[in-house]
Amino acid sequence: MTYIRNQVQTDKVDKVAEAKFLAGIKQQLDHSCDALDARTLSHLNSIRHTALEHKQKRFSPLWLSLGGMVTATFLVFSLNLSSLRLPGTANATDAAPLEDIEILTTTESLDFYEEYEFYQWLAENDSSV
Amino acid sequence: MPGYNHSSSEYNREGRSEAGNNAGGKALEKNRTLDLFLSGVEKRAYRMAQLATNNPDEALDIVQDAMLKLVEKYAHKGQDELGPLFYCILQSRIKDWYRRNLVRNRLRSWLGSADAADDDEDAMQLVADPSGRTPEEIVMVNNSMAALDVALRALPLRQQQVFLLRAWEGLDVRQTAAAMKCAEGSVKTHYSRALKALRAKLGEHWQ
Repeated sequence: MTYIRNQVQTDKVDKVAEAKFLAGIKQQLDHSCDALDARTLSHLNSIRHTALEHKQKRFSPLWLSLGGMVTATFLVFSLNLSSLRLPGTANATDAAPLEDIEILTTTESLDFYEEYEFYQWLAENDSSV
Repeated sequence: MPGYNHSSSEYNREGRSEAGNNAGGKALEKNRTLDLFLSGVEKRAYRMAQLATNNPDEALDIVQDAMLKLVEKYAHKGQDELGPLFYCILQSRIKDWYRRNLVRNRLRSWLGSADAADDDEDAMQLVADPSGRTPEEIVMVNNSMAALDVALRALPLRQQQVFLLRAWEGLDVRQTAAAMKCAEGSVKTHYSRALKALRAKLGEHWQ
């Protein structure tokens, strides 16, 4: 019983000594912060401002609008590119509207065009004969 | 209700400007919160990095990296979360530095070009005391501060940083474990070992 009581008392004393020791260290470390030289403090201040400015620059509306403009320019440019044809890449479907215009502007009767395929076949057979 | 009696275009314009003002106000408030937080922790963060690196310039670089990363990635977080997040980034940067330094030192030792650059006198010792204490007090405080610095630097990095986060920064075991990216049990072990080592070395200064 006495042993346990002594043990508890020793633990309590140890805890108090530990708390005192830790308080001393904390105080010393706080003091070391207060004693930082002017050069270091100035550097820290500048670092903090740089970090905060970095954030403002990153999210500023100017950057957002600039990004928007770049995206819009890219979209317009890519749409133009897709409608642009290089020489020699035209195919049958591209030529179709031109044929339609030719049909619409000609003076031939519409019957001729309705039988167009027949006349084409006839012409081919005539030439082969 | 804002702009209730106005025409719809005026209402929209006012509503938009009010929303803009609110967003601007919130951004300003967030910036102020960040500024307050960073100015509150910058000195302690610097001292932690300085104790880990034993180099003022490296310590400043580490603090800068940690601040930039916090602002870049976690500026939207609440004030309660900023502390643990900042120390997590800081510890990560310290660890990165430690690894890089280890590799550099090994290379130096292989190449046999270890120079005596580390023997330079510590500039901190040459700075005048701003609080106007007597030379005896300065000697006593400087002695105990120097002894504390030496004892802390002598600790293994993990023990040192766990001790600083727990005893100085006041983080609890869970927060310290998160900052150090280790188990809570490891935090307890590191802290207990650090405390034992420091008491053995510094007992005479604070007992």
